[in-house]
Amino acid sequence: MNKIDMSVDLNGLKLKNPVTVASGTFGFGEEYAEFIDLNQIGAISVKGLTLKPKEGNPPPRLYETPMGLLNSIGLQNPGVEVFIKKYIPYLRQFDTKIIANINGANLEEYMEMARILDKEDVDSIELNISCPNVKDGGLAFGTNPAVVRNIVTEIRNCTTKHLIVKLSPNVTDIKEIALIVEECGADAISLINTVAGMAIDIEKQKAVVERKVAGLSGPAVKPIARESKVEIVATGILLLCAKALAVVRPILIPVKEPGPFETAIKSISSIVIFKLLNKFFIIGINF
Amino acid sequence: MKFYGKVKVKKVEFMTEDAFKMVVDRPNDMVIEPGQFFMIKNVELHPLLNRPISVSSYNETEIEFGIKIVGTGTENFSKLRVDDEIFLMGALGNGFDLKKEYKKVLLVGGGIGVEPLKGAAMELNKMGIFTKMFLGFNNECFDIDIFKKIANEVITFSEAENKADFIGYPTDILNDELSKSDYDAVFTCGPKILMKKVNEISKANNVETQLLLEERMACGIGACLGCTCETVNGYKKVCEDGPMFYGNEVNLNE
Ligand SMILES: Cc1cc2nc3c(=O)[nH]c(=O)nc-3n(C[C@H](O)[C@H](O)[C@H](O)COP(=O)(O)OP(=O)(O)OC[C@H]3O[C@@H](n4cnc5c(N)ncnc54)[C@H](O)[C@@H]3O)c2cc1C
Ligand SMILES: Cc1cc2nc3c(=O)[nH]c(=O)nc-3n(C[C@H](O)[C@H](O)[C@H](O)COP(=O)(O)O)c2cc1C
Ligand code: FES
Repeated sequence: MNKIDMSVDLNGLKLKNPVTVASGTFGFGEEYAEFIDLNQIGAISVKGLTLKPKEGNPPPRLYETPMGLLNSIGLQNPGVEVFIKKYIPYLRQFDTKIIANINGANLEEYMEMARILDKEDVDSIELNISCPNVKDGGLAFGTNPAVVRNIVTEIRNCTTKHLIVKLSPNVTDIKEIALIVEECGADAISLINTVAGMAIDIEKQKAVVERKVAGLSGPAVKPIARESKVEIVATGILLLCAKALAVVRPILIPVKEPGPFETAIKSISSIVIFKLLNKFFIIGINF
Repeated sequence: MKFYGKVKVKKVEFMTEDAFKMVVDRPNDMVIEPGQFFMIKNVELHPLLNRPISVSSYNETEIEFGIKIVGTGTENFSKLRVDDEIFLMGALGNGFDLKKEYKKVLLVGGGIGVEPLKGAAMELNKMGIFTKMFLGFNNECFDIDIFKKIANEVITFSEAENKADFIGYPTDILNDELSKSDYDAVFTCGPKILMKKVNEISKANNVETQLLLEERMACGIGACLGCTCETVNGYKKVCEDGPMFYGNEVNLNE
């Protein structure tokens, strides 16, 4: 079979194909290696990282909604040091790009993360300013235009790595935020983080998760991602590919010159699926 | 590599009004331990997530599950017909620890939780370990003939009259049983309240407990960090660190 060139250039981050897995849905890749060949994925965005190990939120953390999933994980992760020592070498065994998803409780922590990872062997840094499941940082940083401007500018000054900024749909005008992010020197944006939501346990008469608010993802939020004013690439289709195993979905968009890229991706997305269908026997739900 | 793919359904058979047995083809080379589980999904898109279901019994060619209908996912499974396909992923997690030094094991199950004990009793039996089962039901008992073949002794309990050996719960006579005889371990699976009581009673009798925990799951393989449970060593993932935990590790409070 002839190889089709499916490579994409996300404004400096070259992926051999546009299939990436969203942070938090794919662990550090290791967990899925028993089921799929990690060499087949364009890039892996690892579980959200913090400076110190983070325990995350108390159980229960998951609640399924009609075609969606509410999660309240709370950025549980082993900390950036473990990522560097254990998971960068692990992921480097595979022909895939590594995206480090970074989180902080305050600006200084975000900056420290960026400085640390600037010296490490990662292909891109994904600045997560849109997690609804933590008290400090997260969503609070991604919804206020002035705060976004400040944090992206500061992070840009801390690293020369490829920089992706992950945005929240919980804003009035996501385009406004996206334009600021671009202006401050980000190379790409990632859409969308989960939508803030809540479920009630009627019997217990209280919210299902302890923090009350959780993050909604999955097919239920696909129309929201689509509606986002910025150009959105191939989201739903790739979701169908990846969802067989989990709630995995690639949504990476170059900020500069989105037009041609989007057209390109759109036109090849069906091939991506086709190829995936052949190679990832896990796929094949409802086409 | 662990298995992920489609398999064919061989049988769906109701045991009670809301509990059924589902038998599927066992893929080649699949390793299964009792107490492990599979992530199962119907081929339609809805509902979104795979459902974790423990393996009940198995042989070289087939895997059997015992499933209780509690919502859409399990109801959909109950409507499957012979030769329909489902997605199967597994076997996953850590099952029961079948220790060679065990001589005598008591298995205490409640409701659909009796099913995962089947595989355990089968394997213990093969190892020449004496097994006794306490099986609790809220009404009609099921699969008793099968349990009687694989365990040395079976005692049944039902909340309803004239259905079982005893009216009531397995925990009613558990303390007597453990205090009058030398058990090396108690394996338990069922409602949390049952496992909690079993755990307390075994602890009081200095008998080791192995129990199967449940938590809502999305990935089933340790990637999403969604199935956390509290243990004496901090948070653990039920899907990867469990579902078998020792009684002295976990906190079974609601
Ligand atoms: C490791 C493991 C092994 C399991 N083994 C079996 C088994 O062998 N047989 C069997 O019948 N069931 C088993 N379960 C429970 C089974 O996974 C759930 O009953 C099922 O996912 C419910 O899906 P549903 O769509 O029918 O119900 P839903 O509509 O999703 O839920 C209906 C009700 O069940 C509760 N529920 C949903 N998921 C879970 C869960 N994971 N744990 C506890 N409560 C839940 C919900 O809170 C709700 O009240 C197991 C669960 C785990 C985690
Ligand atoms: C269980 C779970 C954990 C997640 N953890 C993170 C995380 O650590 N960092 C992050 O940026 N996004 C995280 N997300 C958000 C996803 O990366 C993604 O943006 C979101 O799920 C929306 O896409 P989807 O609808 O295709 O799943 C998480 C999502 C889920 C479901
Ligand atoms: S279900 Fe995803 S970590 Fe256990």
